[in-house]
Amino acid sequence: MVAAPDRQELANLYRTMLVIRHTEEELARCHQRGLIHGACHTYVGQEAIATGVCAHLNPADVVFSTHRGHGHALAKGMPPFELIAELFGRVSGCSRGRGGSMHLFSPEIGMLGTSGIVAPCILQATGGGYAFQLAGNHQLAAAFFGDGAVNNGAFHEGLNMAAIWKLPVLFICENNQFATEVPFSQASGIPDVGRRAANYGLPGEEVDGNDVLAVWEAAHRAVERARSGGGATLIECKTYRTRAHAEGMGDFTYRTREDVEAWKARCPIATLKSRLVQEHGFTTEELDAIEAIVVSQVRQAREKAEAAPPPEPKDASTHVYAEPARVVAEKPADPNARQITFNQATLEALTEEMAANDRIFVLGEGIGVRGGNFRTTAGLFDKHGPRRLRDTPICERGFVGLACGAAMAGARPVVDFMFADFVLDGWGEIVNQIAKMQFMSSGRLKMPVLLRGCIGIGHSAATHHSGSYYGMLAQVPGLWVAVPSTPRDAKGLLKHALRCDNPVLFLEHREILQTKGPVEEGDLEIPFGKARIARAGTHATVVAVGRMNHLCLAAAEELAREGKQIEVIDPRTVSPLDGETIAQSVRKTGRLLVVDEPAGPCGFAAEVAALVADQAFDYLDAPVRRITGVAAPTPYSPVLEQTVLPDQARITQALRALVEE
Amino acid sequence: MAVEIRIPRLGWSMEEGTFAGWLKKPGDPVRPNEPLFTLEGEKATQEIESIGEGVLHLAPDCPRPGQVIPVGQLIGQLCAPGETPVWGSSAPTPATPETPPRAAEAAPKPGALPPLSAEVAASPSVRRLARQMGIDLNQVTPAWPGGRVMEHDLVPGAPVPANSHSRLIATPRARRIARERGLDLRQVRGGGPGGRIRERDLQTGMPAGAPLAEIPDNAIPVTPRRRTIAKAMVKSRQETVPVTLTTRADATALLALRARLKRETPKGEIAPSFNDMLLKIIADLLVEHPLLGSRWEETYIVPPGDTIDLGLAVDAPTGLVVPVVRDVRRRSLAEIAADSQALVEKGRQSRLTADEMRGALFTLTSLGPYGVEFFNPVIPWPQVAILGMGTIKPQPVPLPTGQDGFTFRKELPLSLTFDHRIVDGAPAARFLRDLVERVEVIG
Repeated sequence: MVAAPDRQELANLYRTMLVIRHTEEELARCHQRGLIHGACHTYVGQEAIATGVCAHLNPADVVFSTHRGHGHALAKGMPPFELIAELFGRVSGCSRGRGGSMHLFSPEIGMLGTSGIVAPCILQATGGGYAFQLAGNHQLAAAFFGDGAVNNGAFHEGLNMAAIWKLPVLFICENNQFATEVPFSQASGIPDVGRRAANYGLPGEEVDGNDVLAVWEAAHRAVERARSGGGATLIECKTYRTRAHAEGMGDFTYRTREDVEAWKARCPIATLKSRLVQEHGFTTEELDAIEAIVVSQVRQAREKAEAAPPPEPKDASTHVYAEPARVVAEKPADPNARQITFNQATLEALTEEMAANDRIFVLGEGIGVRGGNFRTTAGLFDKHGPRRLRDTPICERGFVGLACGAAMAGARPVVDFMFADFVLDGWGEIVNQIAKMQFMSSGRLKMPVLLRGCIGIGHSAATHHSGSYYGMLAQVPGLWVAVPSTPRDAKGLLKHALRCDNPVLFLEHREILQTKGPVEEGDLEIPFGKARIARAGTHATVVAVGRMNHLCLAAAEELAREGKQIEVIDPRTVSPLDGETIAQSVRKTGRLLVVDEPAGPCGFAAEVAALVADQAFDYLDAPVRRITGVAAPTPYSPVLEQTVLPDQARITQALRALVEE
Repeated sequence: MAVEIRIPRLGWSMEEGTFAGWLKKPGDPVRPNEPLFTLEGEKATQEIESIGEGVLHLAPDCPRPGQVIPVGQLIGQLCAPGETPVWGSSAPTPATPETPPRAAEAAPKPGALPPLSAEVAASPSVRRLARQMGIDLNQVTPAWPGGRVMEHDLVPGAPVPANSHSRLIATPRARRIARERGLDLRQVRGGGPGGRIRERDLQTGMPAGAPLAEIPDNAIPVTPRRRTIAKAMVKSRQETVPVTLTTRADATALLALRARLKRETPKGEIAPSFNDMLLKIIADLLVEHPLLGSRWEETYIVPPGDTIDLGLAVDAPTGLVVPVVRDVRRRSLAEIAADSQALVEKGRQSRLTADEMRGALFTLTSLGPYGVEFFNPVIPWPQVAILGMGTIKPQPVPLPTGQDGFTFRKELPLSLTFDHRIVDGAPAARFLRDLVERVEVIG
């Protein structure tokens, strides 16, 4: 028995397609009138796909889409006014004027966002599905993407993860035959997408994307499967966009007028209209009446959008980070607390937080039964099982993108990279998606994503297992970056990372994982952006994070024997950076040395130096000095490795020179 | 070929000036002798004229108005139309050290870490200095580990004293403290690398980080003029060996001449003053006593030429200024009077140019209007002497020979301060005696 839409559902399909078509045509006119400030990618010709799929979705189901996402937003229930106002850059737009055509957010109706980057939506929908599976509800996530996305690694990684974990996801490929202006025939070795699903062990379908009933039926099957625990489906909808890639762009350099006219003749709306009259007993008059109402509503939406106010300039940088939900104050350290290692401290924090919050799950390679390469999850698999301690394929971009979507859908992912060098494979997902999501959604989405990994040079780890990267990570607005140096800080900061609503890079120096220190049992939370004065002094200030802070403390011991008191500051978080504590110290001592393991250019040490120039210039009694690693990839041989790395002798010598200078 | 525009030396000892602003805009065509920019020297602000022709291009690190810059700094270029300026180092040529270091001194220090990079880091000016000194930079270990080779690395153990630098080098902290306490950093010897002045050089004995004295609300800021005066006074005190001789001259003839000239001077004009009369007498006397109008140059002494230019101390609202009256000996008293009157007026309005205050051989100063008789004026280095006039008042003198008792006559007190390095007591006394004689017979 093949399911079919009833009469009311048919009328709704017709109506939704008309809303999309008339809104898009209104936007095209507005673009010509100069009301749209940036790009405008219309969905004209493809209306049947969003309409046929979204007809099956509840408001709690979520949609992730692409740069051509107007139709998906409207089909998911966004009023035309919010879309039009967004493209006009108005505060009442769906993204409050922060996004425009390519960045549509309406979490309230399950429209979790469109992206200007091709393919991340595939990974985010996978993550949405993961969050719903973890929560045990029957919601599902849908990704709409074009044929351009299917030759991108995200397609492979996302479909594979959805397949192996049977995630409730719909992968809807809208094959409109051109990735921007490159024909699919030149971009793929086989002409169809749907059959690729078999390679992942997923069901795949290839349907006429201009036939809304065909799409509706395929989507119906896929949704049933997803809701009943059968996992994901790939549906390829073959279609054609009959307007240019973007409004205002030329259209006939890569395709012909004849082709476009032939596809216009296959208009999905006209096709449905004639079938409704011929096969389903609708009259032309009643269908025309539906269209007249839509035309009027779209016109009113446009008029209202034109009259809507622009955003306030003061709001240009709000919601980069989540508003703190509570005030966190650090308890005074107990020097007599039991001594545990850095490693044990972070495991304790994760163990306690996972017990307290069942939305937390961990992704990574070997973090399941094995308990983590660095014992980061030891013992947790037995407590929480595979869904919350998920061993992954080696696809860093894929599971970072999954974590992004899972956080957007309400979970609290922890990505355990093992080595922070692997973070770079997920760089685009971190910088373009995770870091920007709170801002682009004007704070309506929270992004509690913890990304952790080991950093640091030592023991001939060589160049792909030794990078630190926090300088570049701290340059990204929307990310916090923690680089703890003591077991106590490690536990307290990790707890804060697991409780705050912001994405956090938590970087653990591998060479100090076994160092011991006093750590209080039970609750210990340390807020970000508050430096610790590791040793007080008056003759010079030295600032360093991670392992370098240990070397600086040892150097300060040496100087103390020579009668020079060095103040050693550990910022603990590189972002947010506690400039005030550093500046205050330099105002006292007049001298600053910054020691940093990574190379110098545009790095953390440069940032601290600039900050002091800004805030304590008139108190400097000597030039600010830096000791940084050599600007070279980390070499293997111990002789070479030691040469690129700042060591205690150099720090001591530099401090001696600095206090005399 | 582009013409370089550099900061000129406006005064004898000027090492730096305050850039006051351009009088042309970048891209303006400039012809020779057109005013190009304004520069504040030690005592005056001056319009600097172009020495060449071309289109004005400003140096990338061209000073902002109000910025203090060393003499010799390149601030712009005049280029032919279409020509693009090439900017090398804008720094003035560094002073060549008196004793070039031996090669051994510049060798790497034992135990010091080698620079990490194969390429030695050094600024262009240090590279040039190294070339001049014949030092291989690759053999020099910078004091800062892995750092740049600095000028003081080439001359180890001998930090360059601050006053040999064309630019004052002090840390921001030292500058701030000096500002807050009204200290003149030029008087401080820097103990840091390259003579850099640090907090500890300002306040020996005060621990780093100790709280600093608050500036009282009624503190008076030290103006550039005041600083210039202070610097000149200290210079004189440091360089000269001053001795003061005092005497009185019978002022009867002087007063008679003054009264006569007052009567003869047409309405609206000002009669020559006692100052003018004394200037005229001094100018004549310096021909007979050239040593008093000479200039000390360490290995030789420069006597005055035919033209006798004399300084006249003026009490201006912003502080002491000393304009120069030109060619006093060959010009009439009336001309001297007109000149000095104009200069005094300009001095009081702070409108004197550096040229108008340059080149005096001897200076006259007066505290007569305040009732002072004798005092110890400070020799304006590198001049050799200065004459101080006191207040004219009646003094008891013995009656002519053979009669007992006293009578009163009006006398002019005179204080001659001279540099005993150059002039001995007796020749100075003879100058003063001759001066008294001339005063007593003027008319």
